[in-house]
Amino acid sequence: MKKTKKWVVENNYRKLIMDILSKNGKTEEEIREEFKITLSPRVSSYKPETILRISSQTLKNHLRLLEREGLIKKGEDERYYIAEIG
Amino acid sequence: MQKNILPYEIIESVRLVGFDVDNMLKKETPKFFLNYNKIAKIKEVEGLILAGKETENGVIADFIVRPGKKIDVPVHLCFGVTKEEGLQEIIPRFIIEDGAKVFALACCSFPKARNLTHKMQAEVILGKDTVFLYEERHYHGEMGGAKVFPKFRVHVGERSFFQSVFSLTKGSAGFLSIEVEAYAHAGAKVEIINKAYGRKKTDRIRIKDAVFLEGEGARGLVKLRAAASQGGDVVMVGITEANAPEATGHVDCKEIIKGEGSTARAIPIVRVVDENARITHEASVGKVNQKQLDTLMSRGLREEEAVDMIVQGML
Repeated sequence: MKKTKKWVVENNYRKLIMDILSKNGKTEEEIREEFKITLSPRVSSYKPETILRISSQTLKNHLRLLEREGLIKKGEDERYYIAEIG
Repeated sequence: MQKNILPYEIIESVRLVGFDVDNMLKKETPKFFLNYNKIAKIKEVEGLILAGKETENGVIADFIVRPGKKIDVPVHLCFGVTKEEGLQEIIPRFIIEDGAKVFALACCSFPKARNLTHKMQAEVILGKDTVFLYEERHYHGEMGGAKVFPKFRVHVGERSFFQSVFSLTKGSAGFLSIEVEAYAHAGAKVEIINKAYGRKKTDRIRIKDAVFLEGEGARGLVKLRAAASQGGDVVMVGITEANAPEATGHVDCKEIIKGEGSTARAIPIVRVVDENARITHEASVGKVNQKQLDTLMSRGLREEEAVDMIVQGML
């Protein structure tokens, strides 16, 4: 296992991708589907409408970087998995 | 005008940092004022939701602009503490919905701080085609006894514009640690501007601003301006990372240093993860311009006053 470069996980979107993969392996399309940025009010009962999603090319770039740095791996089933530690 | 809704010392420091106090205190001006851990005043206008819940040491708050609403007057936020010691924690959420536009002016004032900690953990989301301009000015008193930790995480939706301007240029900074991370989606533009002045041996300023360009054509600017004098210590880190095609960004750090024992460090970091993106940077740390100093002193200013004027000019 490579030593993780701190800057790789400085980006919260890459952390979110890792979080999505921590439950189980997912294809690129499944990760994209699950990747949503929203904020709910803490006090008000207002229901917000804003949902931000990640673009296809940006997701590809993040996945390539995480794979290269040994944090995730791509299986033969085309799903990405969290790389085993140790 | 609404008087006595904030302590006199806080009002005076709002004036000192250059905000229009008369306008801020007008009855009809949208506002959210906090006096230590008590909500002193909330005024909403159509399309703007301001809500808060007091906690033991501060407040949890919502700042929401409904879809398509353009708030055409500045919204004033004020977080003050007149105690010498203690802890104030602010946990706000800003939700700016699609097509909305708003300008917020925030003042954080701790005029008597001797051993006072202020923490802010803000989360911000902007929908599509929005504009959110946020300006925060601080005053930490003259005794160098404030410890201030503002943190922002900002998500900027497609084709939106987010600008944050932070300044601490009056009084003594104490210990200041700012962390901003902003994520710009396709076509969005983000500008993070910080200005700080450490003018005492006890002043320690740490700034870390990061812009992540996450969508095609996103643009980012990190602009840091700081000065360290009379033993002050300033470290500024400006990061821009491009993760999408046609994203462009720039990091610009400039610092002035004056006096023995003062230290200034500027660290621009640029990262490109997409072959069709481009980031540039510039950084400089240098002494006060001698010619400007001589000119001002020849007009009767003491050296300290002349340095202060030059620094304020840069900031």
